[in-house]
Amino acid sequence: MIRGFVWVLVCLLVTLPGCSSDSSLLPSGEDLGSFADVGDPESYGSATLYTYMNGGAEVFLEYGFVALSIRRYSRGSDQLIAELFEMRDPSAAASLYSYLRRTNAETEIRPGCRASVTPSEVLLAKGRYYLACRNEDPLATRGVAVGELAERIADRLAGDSPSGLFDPIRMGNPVPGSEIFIAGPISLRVRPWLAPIGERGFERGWLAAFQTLSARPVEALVADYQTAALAREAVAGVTASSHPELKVESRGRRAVVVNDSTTVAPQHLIALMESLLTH
Amino acid sequence: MIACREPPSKFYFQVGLLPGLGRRPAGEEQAETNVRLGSRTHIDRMTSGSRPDEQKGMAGLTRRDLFRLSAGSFGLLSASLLGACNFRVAACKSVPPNPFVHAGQPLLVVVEGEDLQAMLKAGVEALGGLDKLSSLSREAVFRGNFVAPQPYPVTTHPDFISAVGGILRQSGFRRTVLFDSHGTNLVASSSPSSIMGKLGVIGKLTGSGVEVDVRDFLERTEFQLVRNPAWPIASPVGVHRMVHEAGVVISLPVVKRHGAAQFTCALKMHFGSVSMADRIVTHKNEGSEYLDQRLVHFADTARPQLTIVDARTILARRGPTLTAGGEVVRGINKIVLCGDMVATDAYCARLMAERDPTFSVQMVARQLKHATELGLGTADLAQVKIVELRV
Repeated sequence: MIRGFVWVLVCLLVTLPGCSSDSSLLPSGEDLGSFADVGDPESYGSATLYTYMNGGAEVFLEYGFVALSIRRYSRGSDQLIAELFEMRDPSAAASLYSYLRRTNAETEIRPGCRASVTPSEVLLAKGRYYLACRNEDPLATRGVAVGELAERIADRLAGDSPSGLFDPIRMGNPVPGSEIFIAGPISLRVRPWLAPIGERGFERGWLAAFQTLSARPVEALVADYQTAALAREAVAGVTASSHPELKVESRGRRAVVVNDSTTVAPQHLIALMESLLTH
Repeated sequence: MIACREPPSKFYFQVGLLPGLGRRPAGEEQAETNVRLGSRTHIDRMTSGSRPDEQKGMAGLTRRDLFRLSAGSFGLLSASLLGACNFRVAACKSVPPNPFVHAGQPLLVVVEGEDLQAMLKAGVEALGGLDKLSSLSREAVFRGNFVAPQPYPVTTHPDFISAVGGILRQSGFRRTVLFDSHGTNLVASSSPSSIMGKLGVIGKLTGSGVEVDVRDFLERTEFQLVRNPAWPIASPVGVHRMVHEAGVVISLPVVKRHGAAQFTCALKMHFGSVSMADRIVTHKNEGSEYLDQRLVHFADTARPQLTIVDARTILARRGPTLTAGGEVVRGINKIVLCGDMVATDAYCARLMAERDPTFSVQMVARQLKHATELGLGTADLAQVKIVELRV
């Protein structure tokens, strides 16, 4: 505990002055139009993010978190919150968005700006920012206010989403919207079937559902490791007897794991794995 | 070796961490809300805490906050280094064996329904009543999950706490106290009652008969260092004295996914029972067995006699907050009552796996195995007497 106290306090002292808060990006409700302010704005840095979101912080840090600004608004009976995450660079913001977006919820809210939209929540990445606007009631069924809030804040964010984030898996024909960039060992646990895959030396990965000619889409992971030996080691424990649903192969620093629970025809599976390994 | 020349209290005193130092101007205190703190009254700021003429700067802190934080941190740093030998490491609290058993097997009661009061009443009756707890003490400490200022199922619902308090009073308990430690007075935006305040928990529990006791997570003297020689990690854990010294602890978790630990329910929620330093160090060590083992050790320090899980709604896919990407799943409409934390988690992990395609019980197998090895309970549901009711 003593070591922990020292660590916590030193981190607070060292990193708090580094927290940035650009209030112009989360302006007052009046500046946004037709919203009222609720409470004071808050901001957090990498050392204090834990105090805001507890164990959820690790994933954000893994993706390249820099600072978080928060502001609460209301409109009518809707209590809203805007969480603006400043990330290391546009790729980090887009990667985090890919991890957090909801299934089958993506739509274009502005030309070139795709967002994950549900009645209680809008998520998007723009430039080096990841924005989450939510109704404080997670069971809210009316999404007009939260949608307008997200659009008005997004208009103030500079930059575009980077291209090429999912180039390494493009040849495999991923289902649009299913792609997830895996930034590290924590986000590598995004699916239970990935549990037997080794984390040692893991650098980055791409997870997606892939269309095949013979069956429903299958999920596959493309993972890059620090060395070819570590890539081999990562999939060495996955055997036909221990995990019959998984097909694995490594080549150089890259490993590919396919979750074949839908029993794709072997030739199509081989073609998919080859395309993912050779890019 | 560090020589201990001064008791830690002197360092706390010097830098303003003892009551009376770092005090706010008198005018501010009029706007504060009193929160009952056991036998004493704790003044806990419910406002943002900054004077109108103060500019909030980086990290939402005023210059005064930064000064306080700097001074306080230096003092705590000093106290940590110099006062180490003044803190005796004790054994984990000793509690009687699980009182809720049937033919030698832990009893786990699941009640499905729509009426919370009726569900709790039926659940307690199926446990055989709470006399075995009230005979230990007529006062109970409640532990809830207040991880973030977000409503149920991210946090424990105040109506649930109030309803459990009512059941306990009917069972002969004279006093029930909801304890939590999720903030510090050193940072205005993260005060000890900040989360409960934003959620309206304190207001909702006022008049319900359940007292609220929120403590500063940097009040180091309020934590008792404990260690169980059976832990594979040798360093002690600082458990809050409110939990360590309570005659009866009743845990009121929610069922959620968790970024690093994958799942949080009966075991993981005792992160909130130990010092912030232990929590941070443990999260910094995740990625190995350390996190899975340590969260079990934290539960070992708390040892609630009864866990009552509010699984009417759960947080699936991500967690432990909505910010982390959690998805609210409604319609489960169950509560789970059990004196065995491990069996509770084994059952609730199964509930989660049935509704979250990104989760499997295997993801928490290491936690459950370690908890079983330490004697906290059983993860084998075949060895548990499960009673399922519908009201």
